[in-house]
Parts: sequence; C-alpha cells; structure tokens
Amino acid sequence: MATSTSSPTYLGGMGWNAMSLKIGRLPSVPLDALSFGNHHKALRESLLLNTNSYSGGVNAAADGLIYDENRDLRVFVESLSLEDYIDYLFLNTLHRKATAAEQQGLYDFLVNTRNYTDTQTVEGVDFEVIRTSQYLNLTEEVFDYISRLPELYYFTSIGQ
Amino acid sequence: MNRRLFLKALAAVGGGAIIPQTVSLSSLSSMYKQANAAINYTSVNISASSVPSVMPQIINIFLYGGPSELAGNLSNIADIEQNSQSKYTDFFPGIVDSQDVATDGLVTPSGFWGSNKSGINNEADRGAGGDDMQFLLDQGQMSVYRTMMKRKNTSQSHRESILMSQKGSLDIDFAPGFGYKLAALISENRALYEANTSLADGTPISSLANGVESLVMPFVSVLDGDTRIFDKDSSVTVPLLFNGISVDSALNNPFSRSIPNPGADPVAEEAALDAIVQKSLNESSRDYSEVVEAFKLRQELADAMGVYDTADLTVLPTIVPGDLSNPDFVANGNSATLAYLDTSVGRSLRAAVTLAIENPATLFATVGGAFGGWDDHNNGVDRYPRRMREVFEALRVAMMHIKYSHNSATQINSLNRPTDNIIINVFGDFGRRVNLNTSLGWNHGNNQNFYTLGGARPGLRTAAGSDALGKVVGNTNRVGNAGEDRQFTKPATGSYEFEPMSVAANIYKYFGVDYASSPISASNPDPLTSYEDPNNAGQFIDFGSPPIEEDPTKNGAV
Repeated sequence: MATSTSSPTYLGGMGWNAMSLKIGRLPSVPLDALSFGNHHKALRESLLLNTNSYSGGVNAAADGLIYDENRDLRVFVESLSLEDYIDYLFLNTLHRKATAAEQQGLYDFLVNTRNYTDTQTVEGVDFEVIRTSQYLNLTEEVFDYISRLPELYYFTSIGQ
Repeated sequence: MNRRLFLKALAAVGGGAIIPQTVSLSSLSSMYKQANAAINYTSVNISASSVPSVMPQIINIFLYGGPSELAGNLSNIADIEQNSQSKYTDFFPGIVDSQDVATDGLVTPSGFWGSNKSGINNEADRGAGGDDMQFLLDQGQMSVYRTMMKRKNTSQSHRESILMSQKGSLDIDFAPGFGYKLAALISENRALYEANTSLADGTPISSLANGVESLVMPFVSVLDGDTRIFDKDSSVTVPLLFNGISVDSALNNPFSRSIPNPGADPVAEEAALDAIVQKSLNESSRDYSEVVEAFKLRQELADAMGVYDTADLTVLPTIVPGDLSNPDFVANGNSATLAYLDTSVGRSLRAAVTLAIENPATLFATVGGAFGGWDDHNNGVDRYPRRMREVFEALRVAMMHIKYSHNSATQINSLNRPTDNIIINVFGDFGRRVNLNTSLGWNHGNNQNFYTLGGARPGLRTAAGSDALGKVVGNTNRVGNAGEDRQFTKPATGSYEFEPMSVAANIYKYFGVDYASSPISASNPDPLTSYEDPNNAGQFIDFGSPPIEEDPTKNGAV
C-alpha cells in the first residue's frame, strides 16, 4: 500500500522514500508543501475519515473502536456519555483527553449543528445520548477535528 | 482493521513521521547560518534600470547523479573510441560516423548522438536524443554549452557537487539554496520590481494588492520535494509562498480538504471546527509553528490550485500550420498534435511548463527527481541513450508547447501572453569520464554539458535575445592515458568555460542583477555566489562566479 504510487498512503508522495534518489535531500522529515499535504491527506482520508479502518466488525475481523466483531456496539462504548466518548476518541489518537474548550466546542457542534444525539431526561436533568445510528458519523466529525490539530503531527519527547 | 491495528497504523503513519519538537528544520538552518555572515540582498548590484520589464520564468531541470556528456558532445568520439577500455562501436556501430545513410552514422551535424538515418533496425540505431537536440538547435530554441567545468572545487562526490550547483556557491554547508536566494533577492528588493516590472500576461506587479507578496506559487518544485535549491536563509524572511512549493506532476490538488457528512452550510461547519482548533492553539504553550505554517500553506495552495485540479493537462496547443512545410510538424512525426510522453519525465515537464504558461507568477520551478538517477557507472550503454532520448523528446515537446502558446489563448486560463520569457536549463551534479569502462558505464568527471532552452526575449539573455540561441559553445579535448579509466574531456585551450555556480548567477542576471557594470573581483565579491571563510569574517575563499557569457561574439559560439 505504502509503495504503490497510486495509493494515498504512498510514502514517496510524502517525501519519505529517502533512498530512491541517493542524496540531495534534507536530513529531516520533509515539510515541503506537497509532502506535508500528502501526509495530511493520507492520515486524514485513509485512516481517520475511513471508518472501515477502525470501526470494527468489518468482515467479522475483530473488535474495533466502536463495534465488536459481530458489528454490535461495544458495551462499554454504549455506556459512555458524549463527553466521555469524545475523550475516548482523543485518547486513542492524541493520547490526551479533550480540553474544556474542545469539549464545549465539539459538544455544541455535534449536538446543535449535527444533531447526532437525543436528549434524555433523568430525574429532571437533561443530557445528550449519542444515537446508536450516528456513532460512525460522530466519530468521523471528531477525527476530522483531530486531523486539523497541528499537535497530531508532532512527537512530543519525554520530559516536555 | 481492529483497534489495535488502528493504533499501530496511527503510530506508523502519524507518530512515526512526525517532527520532534526539540529540533526543527528552521532551528537546524539557524544553527548552520550562525557560522557565516548573513547575505545582504540589498547590497547586490541591482537597480531600476537593471530589473527586467517582464518577469522571467525559469524551469530548472537537475539530473541527479550526473549524466554523461556524450549525448550532446561526440566531437571527440574518434579519439575516445581509439583509447577507451571498452569499445563504443561494439554497441553502437555508427557512433564514430557522421549521420549519413551510406555509413549508418549517428553523429549529427553539430556533434550530437543522433539516430541512424538509414533506418532503425535495433536499439543501437535510435541514438541518445541527438535528433531532437539538433532540431532544437537548428530552430534557434536551444544552445548547448560543452564546457561547464569544475575547477574551483574538483571534488567528484555527489553531495558536494549537488550542493555547489544547487546553492550556487562553493559554500556547501552554510549557503542557502539558489532558489531561496532568488526569492530573497526579489523580496528584499521588492520596491524595484513593484515599480518597474510586469508579469508576462501584462499585469504590473504594482497592481497586485500586496505587490510581490501577492504572487501565487512563484517558487515551485515539481515532484522534487525538499530540494536543496530551496534551502532557507534564516537571516531573511520571505513571503510564505516564496518558500518553494512542491506540486505533483498532474497538478492535482493534494491540498484540498473535504469535510465528512456536510450539512446545509459546509463552509460554516468547517469554520466552526477551525474555530475550535484556533482556540485550542491559543491555549497551548507548545510551539507547533512549522505545522501551523504548513496548514496555512495548504489552505492557500488549495485555493490557488483549484483551477488545475480538474484541468486536462494533456490538451496542448496544435502545431500550425499542420503540414510538411512546417519543420515542427515534421519533427513531431508528421503530426500537428502535441503530446508529452506519458512517463515520469514527460508528465513532470508537462506540469512545469503548464504551470509556467498558465501562471505567469511562477517565476522559478525546479524539476529533477522525476527524471531519475544518472549515476551510470554500470550498464550505461543499455540505460543512458534511451533515457536521454526521453528527456530530449520531452524538451522538444515542451518547447513547442511554449512556442504555440505564445500570444495565443492558453488552454486552461485563456491567457494571451508572450512566452519568450520562459527559460529551461538542464544540467546535473557533474560530468562523467569518457572512457567506457569494463562495466560498460562511466565514472565521475568534471566537465559536463549545460543545455539552455527558450527565453529569446530581447534583453533577457542578450540585448537581441535570440542571438544567444541555436549555438554550440565550448570545445573539448580528450585527456588521459589509453586503456585506462581516467580519461575525460576538458575545455580546449582558448575555449570559453564556466563553473556550475555560474548557472545560479545567470539566473540572478535574468532577474536584474547587474554583473556587467560591476564585475566580480577581490574588491567586489558577489554577495550571492561568493564563499566567505566561516572562520575569518571578511576573508573570502571564493569571490563568486560570474554569469554565463551568452553573447555569441564573446563566447566563441558556432
């Protein structure tokens, strides 16, 4: 996949096939516009926005982020609140929870703009529950956001 | 893919590729730059009277590995054949004979490696691009310089040679790339261009909203990635788009970004997500500036390249008149339809030329990686001629593409503009020896050909412009002992010659640097091509290299 020139994840498109031209290249990760553009596109479109790459239960393969191998919603996923589910997706990609500002912004986007949730009232308190049919779409939206974060493209060294 | 694989994929495609925050590219270049004095771009000899009235557009083709000179220089082939370890005639029977039906010769009138005019019976009859070279020369669209000779630094290592050429200086460690120096030159002297210069479509730079800063994709790398030609000079800041922008050979828009599940107002939805990103960045104390900058570039390029995304690059102008009276028609295989070879070479050159024609603001494009490697130590007889044919067929089509777009509505943007400001340069790391070694290839040498095409506009190359084209410049001799590997060509006594760094100086000249009235000397080192001793400020290891002498009355052209 990464060696096929027609693949979005072709390493040459990201400027990583370092030995193909022997020398004459920078000694670091290519950040020229095309290399980074292809890297961003590959990461975003081939992985983060491609729900088959993580949802689980595709061809009964195995448990994924969202579904089990029978394509049923994973029990613990179903038990997560919207806020916790957002954190779950952040932890799986960025290794941190969403900040308060991110929680607030994404909550508003997913609930009010996208309408991916239903309002339930328990003991007089309203809270939002992700619709069972909208887990994939909601996950895509959160991953779309995460793909826009510069920090996704950095490796944070120990001690920072 | 299960969750475990997803995480591994993220680590591989994401985490494995990302940038350690402690050392970034800009910090590396800053470290380099501390070792020598900053270039003062405003001290360069450039003035209102020397900047061009129309911005030149340069396509720089770099052949990595260093190709043999033989395709463009068989002037010494009889002597070479007599002394070579392996015999050329064992593989190319007609290579010592002039192109003639009677002899099955391959040598064109100007000494290029052409085809067998009595008929193509096998691969050896096809030549090494000499027919297209001869055509381009005869039509006044190309000149060949046979004596681009490394004398100041005779290292034949790839690294040093590439860097000397791509930095336009002997200072291979600290100097910026010559593409970046050109960007800085224009940026730092922007007032001169904004007051005196137009783009080739007639747009005065002064009419652009932010002058030179409004130029779209002025410095481009076509499939050449992070080439050293755009190595930065951290002592100056240039507009964001002046940093070499790399594009692919289809001019596809890799910078576009669609949003998933768009609702009624996708633009507003995207803006909402970006607003959260901005908020997150504002709250962060970490430095993500390199990727932030890359994202900004992505957005600007997504907008700038939108027009090319759906364009059919294979649609080229037609040769007119399309009949046997037109040498272009004949050279194009008796066809009026132009088409680049559908190869990496053809596609990348098509992209560069298309961009130059359709976007007069593209001032400098570098192409190279797509042309493959030319380090033919072994089996050169099998590989070299075929690939040189491919290069020069692509160049012939490129020149026709440029010629038939001249003052005629262009295919994508319907511009009506002159194209005689577009120049294509072709060269590589260094030359090669001329002894055909026992592995049937050539080891490294110091003399190489420099091919330069187009740009007949008066005042660009010379006052008349066109008199600099259609010429062969420089004479060579074979030197070295018979039967030994160390045989090469060098400039004949009295022959004009120049260093590879002069290619960069020549491009600076096109953009207005006046070397004629202020020649490089010990008392007048060239800020752009000199090499200041990093350990002794003010002391120069090299005062610089002058531009190529293109005046045929001064360079001995024939």
